[in-house]
Amino acid sequence: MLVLGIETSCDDTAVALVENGQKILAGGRASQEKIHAQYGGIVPEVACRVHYETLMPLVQKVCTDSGKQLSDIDAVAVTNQPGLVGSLYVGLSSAKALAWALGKPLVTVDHIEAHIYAAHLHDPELDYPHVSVVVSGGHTDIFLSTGPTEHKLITRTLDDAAGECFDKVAALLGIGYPGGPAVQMTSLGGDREAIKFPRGEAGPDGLQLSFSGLKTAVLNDLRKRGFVIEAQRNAGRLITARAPETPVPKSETRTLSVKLPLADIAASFQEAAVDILVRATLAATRKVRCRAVVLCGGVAANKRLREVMAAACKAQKNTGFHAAPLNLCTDNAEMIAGLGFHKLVIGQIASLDADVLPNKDEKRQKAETA
Amino acid sequence: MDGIILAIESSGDGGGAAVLRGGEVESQVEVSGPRRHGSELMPCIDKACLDAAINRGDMDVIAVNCGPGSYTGLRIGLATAATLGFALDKPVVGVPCFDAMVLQYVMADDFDVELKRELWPVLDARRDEVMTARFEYDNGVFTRATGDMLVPPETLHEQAARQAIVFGGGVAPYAAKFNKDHLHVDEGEFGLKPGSVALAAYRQLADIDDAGKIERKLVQPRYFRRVLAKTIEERAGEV
Repeated sequence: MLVLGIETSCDDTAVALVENGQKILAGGRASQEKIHAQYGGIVPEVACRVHYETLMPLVQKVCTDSGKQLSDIDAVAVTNQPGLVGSLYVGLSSAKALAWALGKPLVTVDHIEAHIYAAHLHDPELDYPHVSVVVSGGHTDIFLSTGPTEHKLITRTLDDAAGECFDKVAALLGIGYPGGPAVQMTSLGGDREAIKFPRGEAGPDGLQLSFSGLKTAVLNDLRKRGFVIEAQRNAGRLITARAPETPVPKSETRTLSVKLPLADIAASFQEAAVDILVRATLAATRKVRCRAVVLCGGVAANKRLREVMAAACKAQKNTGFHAAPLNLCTDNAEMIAGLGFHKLVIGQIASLDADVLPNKDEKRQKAETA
Repeated sequence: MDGIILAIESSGDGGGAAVLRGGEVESQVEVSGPRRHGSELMPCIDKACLDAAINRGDMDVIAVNCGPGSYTGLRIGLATAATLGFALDKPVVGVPCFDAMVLQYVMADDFDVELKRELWPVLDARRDEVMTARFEYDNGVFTRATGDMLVPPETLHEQAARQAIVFGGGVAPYAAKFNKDHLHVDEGEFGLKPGSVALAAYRQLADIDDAGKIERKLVQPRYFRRVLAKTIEERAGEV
């Protein structure tokens, strides 16, 4: 069965054709990163316009790349939660129109569940149950997964998402956006032990996750070095440190004074963020007595996180470790089409009046935890 | 062009879909209330086609209100229309909101064409401004005389003829601000119907004898304002 997946929940437009939830025939992704970098963060309005302009050409591209016709598609799967409301609507409206025009079923997919499915797309042998660690710019959630659409929350960040923390620290250091790749790149050759950033409280069961303290610690470290921290106008989306003798910068994303040991700070920060995630993950596996871990989401592309998490799992009773492949960590449509296939098989077909659920995540937060 | 037009209206609180054939609205299905386009637009389209007894691929043209209007509503309508056009291999045409509003207004039973009054359809653009355009009487019909413009309601009369009629969803929020000595302000409720978008499209395509000759391009939305967010460079320039 051939499923077309559509993903527009945030700032990436993605389309993919996947056969039987496993075989990727074609995938296309148009990142808006460069566009939003000009604004220092995602502008929902701009994201919507770009999704609208990019989506159909991408559908055309995956058809051409795979040698398939629109009429070969057996179902259309689309992300309808959670995400930016306008962005979700562009994808859902297009998916509905496509399904209707082709006379094929529509399947709506939860973006977070799809991220977890990305590991299964890569590894058909991977079995349930497993502990799923979803780490991205918008989420830092740990679930116990017992099926493609069955996930019970074990713990989640109390404040910032891990990826958000990377973005903020990267902005602070003036090393660019998005923060994940920027920090990873800057940390190369840096001393991970140079600065002992705090790892925060683990809580009585070791499950507590928080990243705002780490961000503040980086901020304080820069202050100690004599840097001026300027809260920026416009909602303070970007805060950048500035050496006291330097003039007010024209662009906040310029590189800081060379006096700053950027590599050491980035490496030390990254190590702390990784430690926080690994600590909570191991605690989660102990709590639900599960011996398999799946790491997914944009931050799962971080090499150091993959490395440390793999070693830590192995050291803890040889717990199995599976990371989503690098190309399926960031937002993509392969995972949407893949999970869409499973929902189709179990008959979870959406009706034409399906709606978006931008804040579904908040409801889940209140839900019973495992 | 005398073919079948599927029209989509999602720029305001209401809207839905309509099917027009041979210049007549054959079916019209509306959403149940405000902010329902996201879920209900596609079912409206489905039912409008069913009511008009046409199949998915039978329409010759897809017409969509391209604004100005609600950002989210327009986005839903445009994404739906563009995708239908792509999947069914049909041209998509954008119908400017004010053209459809004027058509609906002058077709009402109690409208007296013979008074030949100037028409100013208005929409609430927020921030104490309305968006509008001037339509003039021209040999039995009303034709657009200006592009879409943002105007403070209290100064609209400066550009309008005496006794020009101001109507539309932008009247109620600013009813006290229009100069009523100069303008005829119609405070009646006004909700644009999908059938009016279909009729406006029919008129827009009057000179085209074959739908195949319509240019295939992505319809661009006409928003009230451009993006309000500023780039880092723009913000730095404000120091």
